[in-house]
Amino acid sequence: MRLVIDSDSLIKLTKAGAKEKVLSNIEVYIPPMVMSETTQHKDKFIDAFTIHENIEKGFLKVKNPSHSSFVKSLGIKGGEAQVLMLHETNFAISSDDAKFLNILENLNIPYLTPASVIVFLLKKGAISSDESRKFLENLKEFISDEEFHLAMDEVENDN
Amino acid sequence: MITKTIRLPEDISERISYRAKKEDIDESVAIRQLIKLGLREYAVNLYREKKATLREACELADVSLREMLELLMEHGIKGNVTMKQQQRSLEYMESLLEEETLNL
Repeated sequence: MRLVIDSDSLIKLTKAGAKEKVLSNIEVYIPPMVMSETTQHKDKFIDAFTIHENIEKGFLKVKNPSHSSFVKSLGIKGGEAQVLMLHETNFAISSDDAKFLNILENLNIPYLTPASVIVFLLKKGAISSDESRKFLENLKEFISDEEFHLAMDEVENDN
Repeated sequence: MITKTIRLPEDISERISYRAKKEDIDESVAIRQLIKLGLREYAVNLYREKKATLREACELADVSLREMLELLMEHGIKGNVTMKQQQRSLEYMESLLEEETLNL
């Protein structure tokens, strides 16, 4: 799977300690604006520094989006606009922003929240149940209760 | 900076004077500070109500993305994804797994 991830989702997966597992099992792309937002103050924030390192080592790929007048016409700006421009066939989008997810729904574009990315790794066999529980518990303070509980249900019901 | 003329009710004017005196600043500085604080609250509320993206909220509050995430957490907002959105996301995840299985 190839995933285009926005700043919100990338920062949350990083803070949850799940980023390395995500990057070693999924081909993850970010547009330049997401790169600048997530690596800003890398001398101050450890998660910004590790994202910068992942980019330097090529584990996290930065891809320039093609210009899209359609996306521009939607009134979306910044990193979200670039994420949408990068969205192509076989590219999944990950975001944790309700308004952006609503826009994606209106465009019939499916998406993964960061909690769903964790569940995906579990069901793919890339991480254990214990690891997925740990990652979701770490994510808990950054995601909505609804997102957390539904994802945790999936983990608990996984055989 | 630009100059704007506004009419203020007396009680609000008194509160601005109170802040200016308390912080030992000009009334114009006090007004700017209070507007900034109000904009941060407004940005938090718009994000909570799913009327602004995180980035729009950042621009409104004039803070970085990480500062906005911290601001939201200070207000008890961990995230704003709804149950329906999470259900759809999990459904999509299942379809991705099926696709991966078929491709093996």
